[in-house]
Amino acid sequence: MREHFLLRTLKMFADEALDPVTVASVWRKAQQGAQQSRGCQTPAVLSDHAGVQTRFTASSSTQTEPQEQNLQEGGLGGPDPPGLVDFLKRVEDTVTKELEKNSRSHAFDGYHANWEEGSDHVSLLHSLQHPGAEESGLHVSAVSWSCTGSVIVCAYGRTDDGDWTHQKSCVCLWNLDRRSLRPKQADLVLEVPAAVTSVCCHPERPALIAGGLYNGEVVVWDTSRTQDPVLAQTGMSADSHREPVYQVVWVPLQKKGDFGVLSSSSGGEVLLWLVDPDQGRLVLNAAYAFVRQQLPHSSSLKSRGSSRVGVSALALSPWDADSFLVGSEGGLLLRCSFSCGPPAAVAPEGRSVAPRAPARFCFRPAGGPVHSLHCSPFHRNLFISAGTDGEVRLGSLLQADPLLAVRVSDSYVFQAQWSPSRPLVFAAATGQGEVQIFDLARKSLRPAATIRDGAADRTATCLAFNGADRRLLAAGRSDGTVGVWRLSSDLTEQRAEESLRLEQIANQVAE
Amino acid sequence: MSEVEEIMKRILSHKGVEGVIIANTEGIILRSTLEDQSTVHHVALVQPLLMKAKKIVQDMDPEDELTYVRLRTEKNEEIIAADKDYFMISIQTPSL
Repeated sequence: MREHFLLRTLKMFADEALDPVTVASVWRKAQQGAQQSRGCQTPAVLSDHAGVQTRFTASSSTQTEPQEQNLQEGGLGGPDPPGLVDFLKRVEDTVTKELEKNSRSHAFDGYHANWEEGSDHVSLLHSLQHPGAEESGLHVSAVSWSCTGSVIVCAYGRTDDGDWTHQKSCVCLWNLDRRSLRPKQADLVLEVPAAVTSVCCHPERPALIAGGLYNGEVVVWDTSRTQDPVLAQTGMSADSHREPVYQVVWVPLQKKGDFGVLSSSSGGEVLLWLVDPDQGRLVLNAAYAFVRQQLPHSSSLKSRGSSRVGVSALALSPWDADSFLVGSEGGLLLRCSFSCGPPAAVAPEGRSVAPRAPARFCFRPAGGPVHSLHCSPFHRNLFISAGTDGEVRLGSLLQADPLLAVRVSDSYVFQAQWSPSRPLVFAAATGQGEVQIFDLARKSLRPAATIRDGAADRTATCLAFNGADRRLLAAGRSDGTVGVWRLSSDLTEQRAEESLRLEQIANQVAE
Repeated sequence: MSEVEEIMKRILSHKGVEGVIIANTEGIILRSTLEDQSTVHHVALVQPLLMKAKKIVQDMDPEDELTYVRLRTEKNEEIIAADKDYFMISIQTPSL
């Protein structure tokens, strides 16, 4: 019994192996939707061919004929429409009255409408700079326009102090008509071994430029030559100037079309050079020396210092090929003649041509050195002179005293030039940095326009009107910039009766 | 001579008068002393100006009405007298 009980309990604790139980996922089946598959297909497109043919053709054309104007000429022709006669009767009286008034009216005398686009003000077109010159601290000493009016030539040098004989400088050209004009970079730069004091473009050949240097040389450049633009120069010969050249001008010679270079220097001589391109030299043709003792009526002059008269300004007369005007460092204004004159009372100094004394007439002296002279292109007797006394004097060749003195500025006036388009307008470059433009047609003597560009401590050293495009004015300054300005139309367009007014001014006798 | 011609002649006899053109407001030319082409041209150009001028006067003051329009150029002056139905252009060169 007991073994039975033991076996039975042992059986209760025997190892049992159970089979694994799997529980099927009910969730998945519930999520799956019912799936069905279908198919579709388009039926085939039916196509068929058919042909068309014209059976018969016919053509016709149309044309319009010009219609004849049904016009009745001057009295002949159709019946008068009703009411025409009444209309005319009514209107005739008023029209007749107006016609008569018109024939006597002076309402529109001298009135000219100006429909062209004129500008009212002066505007700066370009401001040209040459970085190389600016770095060396050079001023613009002269500007000149080419005869075509499209190229501006700027010369760099110093205008205030002297003895820069070893300063290298340059002459820069800008072509303003080019679209790719770069104001900071010149189109052509001519290197020059000394400071340039004056340039002048040839009146007929746009490639030739004459320049005067601080060391007394005169150079002619030909910008059409690529190799070496120097066409001719005086070199340091016995003929050339010993003192700085103040001004160079192209002078028409006897033979039409020939030009010589006239140069003036502070050594008291004015020399006329001919260009010899083959030898690359300027050949001295005539020399004129100014000695105080030989000047006409020198009683009012104080004879101080040397007897030499340093020529600081030169002007040619466009009316009289024989005469030219000279202004000196001492303030003298002289009218001189090319052709006749006694020999000058100077030591020969080894010149190849004996100098003559050309002075014919002495005007009333200015208060200080004369910097600039210009003859009027519109009147044969008028000229303006500008100097350090701050005045621009309008003088006549026929009398010693000036006709008019216009106070331009409180400091020096470096250059004065007549406008090429309006007889009564002139411009002056002042030491205060402004270019003042005066119009003598106005009643008051205040400037008609003032061109101020930048700081007031920069002097305006030179200016030039463009002969071809009369509205442009170039002004150079002591900071090395050249401004090209377009003037307003009232400063450039000539008005009626200006020449008459100029004539009146010229005929005034100074009190 | 008809009255119209007489009146035109009188106007033409004034000092400096170069020509007279008469047309109706629609622009149909009735009488003219200038030659055809220029008359047609003239009337075609002047007529809209006249309409505009009439409108200006009416708009500014409804009780006022246009009597004539004067067009002065550098070379001559035209006096255009207008009415409801017709207008007349007289071209005169003023003596200066």
